[in-house]
Amino acid sequence: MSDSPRPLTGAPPLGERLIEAALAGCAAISLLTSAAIVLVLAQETFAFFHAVPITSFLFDTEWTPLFERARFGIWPLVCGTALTSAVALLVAGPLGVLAAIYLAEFATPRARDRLKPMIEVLAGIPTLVYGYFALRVVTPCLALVIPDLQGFNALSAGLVMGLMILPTVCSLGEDALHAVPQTLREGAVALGAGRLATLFLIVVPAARSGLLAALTLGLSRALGETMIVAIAAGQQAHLTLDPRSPVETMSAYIVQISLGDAAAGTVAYRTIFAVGAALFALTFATNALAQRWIAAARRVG
Amino acid sequence: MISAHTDRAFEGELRLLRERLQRMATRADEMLADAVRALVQGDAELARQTAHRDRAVNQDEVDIDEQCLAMLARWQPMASDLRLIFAASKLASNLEQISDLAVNICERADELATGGFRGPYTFIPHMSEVGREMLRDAMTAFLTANTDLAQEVLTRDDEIDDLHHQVVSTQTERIRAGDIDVRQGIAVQNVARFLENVADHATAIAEHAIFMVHALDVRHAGKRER
Amino acid sequence: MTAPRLHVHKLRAGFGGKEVLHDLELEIAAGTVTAIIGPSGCGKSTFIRTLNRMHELVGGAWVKGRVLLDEQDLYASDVDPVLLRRRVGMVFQKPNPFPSMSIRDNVVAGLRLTGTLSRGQTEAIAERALRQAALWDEVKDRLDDPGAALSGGQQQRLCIARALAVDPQVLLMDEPCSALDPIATARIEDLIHSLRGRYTIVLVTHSMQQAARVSERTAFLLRGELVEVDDTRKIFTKPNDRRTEDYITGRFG
Repeated sequence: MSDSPRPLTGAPPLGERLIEAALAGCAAISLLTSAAIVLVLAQETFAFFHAVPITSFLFDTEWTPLFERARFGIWPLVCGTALTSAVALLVAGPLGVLAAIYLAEFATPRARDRLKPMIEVLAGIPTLVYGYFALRVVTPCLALVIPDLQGFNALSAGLVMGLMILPTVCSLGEDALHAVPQTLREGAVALGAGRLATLFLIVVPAARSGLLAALTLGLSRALGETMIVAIAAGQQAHLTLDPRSPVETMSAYIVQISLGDAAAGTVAYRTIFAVGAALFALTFATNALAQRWIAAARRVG
Repeated sequence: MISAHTDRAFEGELRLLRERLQRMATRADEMLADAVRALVQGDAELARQTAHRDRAVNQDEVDIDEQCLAMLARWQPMASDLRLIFAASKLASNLEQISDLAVNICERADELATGGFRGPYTFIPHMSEVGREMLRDAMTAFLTANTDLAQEVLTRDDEIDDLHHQVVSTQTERIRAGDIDVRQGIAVQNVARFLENVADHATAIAEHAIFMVHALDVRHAGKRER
Repeated sequence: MTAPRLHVHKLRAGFGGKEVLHDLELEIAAGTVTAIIGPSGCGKSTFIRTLNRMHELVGGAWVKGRVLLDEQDLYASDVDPVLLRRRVGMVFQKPNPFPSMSIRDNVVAGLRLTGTLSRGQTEAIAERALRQAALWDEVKDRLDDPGAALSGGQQQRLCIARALAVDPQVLLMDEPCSALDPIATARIEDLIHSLRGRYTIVLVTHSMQQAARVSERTAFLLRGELVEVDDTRKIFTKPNDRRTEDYITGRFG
């Protein structure tokens, strides 16, 4: 072995610096894109609020930007979004979590390996197909049970949206349950706990933060979902919480306008940016809230 | 024979410990030989020189005890290793006392030579031979885990006792007959007692050898049971 | 002589076609601490898990022979493993307090999980178990804190308290100190000394020094075979079997 001192200083080789720069560039692209989006959104939104006072946007109860007497109250759209998303979450939450529990705790490894891809196929179906499924199959079927169900309604759009986000909730939920250390299950079993007691008193609480994360991700997908609601929920902005009636969600409204119902540059056209900003704020708030719950659950955990 | 330890550093320490014990035993044995030679030849100078070699043996004892303590602390040895180290520390003490006895013999040799005493030292050289042989055999028994040899050393203790009694009675006879001075006679008797003590330590070493191999404490068992 | 608390007779166990334990024969007296030592993979953990029927939870696991708890065969067809585990508690290698529960809830978790916690008993049971586990003084002012907020050694004592709260007769400990520092280890060992007599403890350990310190009897397992079981003092000063000697002095393969 040589005892001559090897240098401790010196610049990293050129190749290494090039790779570093390339990687930084890739990261910068996504950052710049996000920044550009926010910038455009902010600019157009400001332009909109120049024409329409923010108070009427926040406190008016009607959304009729294309009427002659245009009203710009955002709440009908928020309600539509909240309603369809709530229905979707009511479907996907329990179903997804229970399916995840089945897959993680009860299914044999072979059954799990077969079932999980089948559930994940649901995530691969184009949302357009879901939309027509809601309109042509689910609504007529529901109409047999609920007589005063309207042709376009929040209920069937929400139900189908629930199916759409089911794989997300189920798959992430299963991962969360799977991540609960085996030692906790063993600890419970060694105390003489039965299978269900172990599951519901130990495993599910331990997976709480992961399950919450799964539900949040499902919810954000529902909030942003466009095609299903645009097709099956109708495009009438009503301030209502009745799932049997047609509603318009924020995303569906944006699609409607972008498809050419308003001329570019008009106030009506600018509404889509204001609605987009509002949707952005809503998802952002949802995520932030969920992050706090998850963090709290994790602190306990 | 015991197979090698997985930890070679520990194996090395064990080897070093055995080597130290062997070296210390050789030193004590040579001191004993020179002490008795100085006595028999009336060589006061040799007696004084030999007595000084005590220091090296004392240092050996300190080194061995330190090593034993360090090994206990560092490796927490078990079973045969634990017994070996435990016995090694006791062995060092026995060997150190043998060297003290050699010093005692040197002092008597110096005293007798200076006093112009010229023997005869009937039985003393023979006693020394037997005692040293017991010491060497006990060490061999310990270092090679040979319990048969150790048992054999134990039986020779009686022989030494007999020789001791003979020296005492011979010297007493001479004193009574006025052949020798009382103090000189007692000095020779003392030498015999020292050699008898050497044999006791050799016996103890043999007992440690048996303990080390069989974990069997034979020290206070009756002689017949041995 | 009274019957042993645990009597392992011609015990074989394994997974699928592989036999891990071969014909074990062992008696464990009530109130004693028995240490199981042996190299990794010798079947120590499998063995201890046959004593509370945790072994069979793994797919393909099987057991033959008998394990008698107070002369009753654990593997008899009418024995409910869930009820058995309330009499034979277990502490694991890594402390595993339930993360979603407070310290107090962790202690009474066994009773709650088995639906045997009566109202108003929680405080008394939690205090008794925490005192037994020598943890009471350290946590009495923060029983509502999450169990996971404790240090590793405290967590392990919490797990011991949790096991004691269901009032078992036998306590199985599977390398309970392997994740702990020497001081925390010393606390657990001190605890084992204080539990001796009241509970029958079976301790699997990688540390021979630990076995030597806390147990009265030590069993040496090698490749699924019980090579030797004897008084701990005897095992660590003068084992009978050459394989035991080689293992405990570090002359192993």
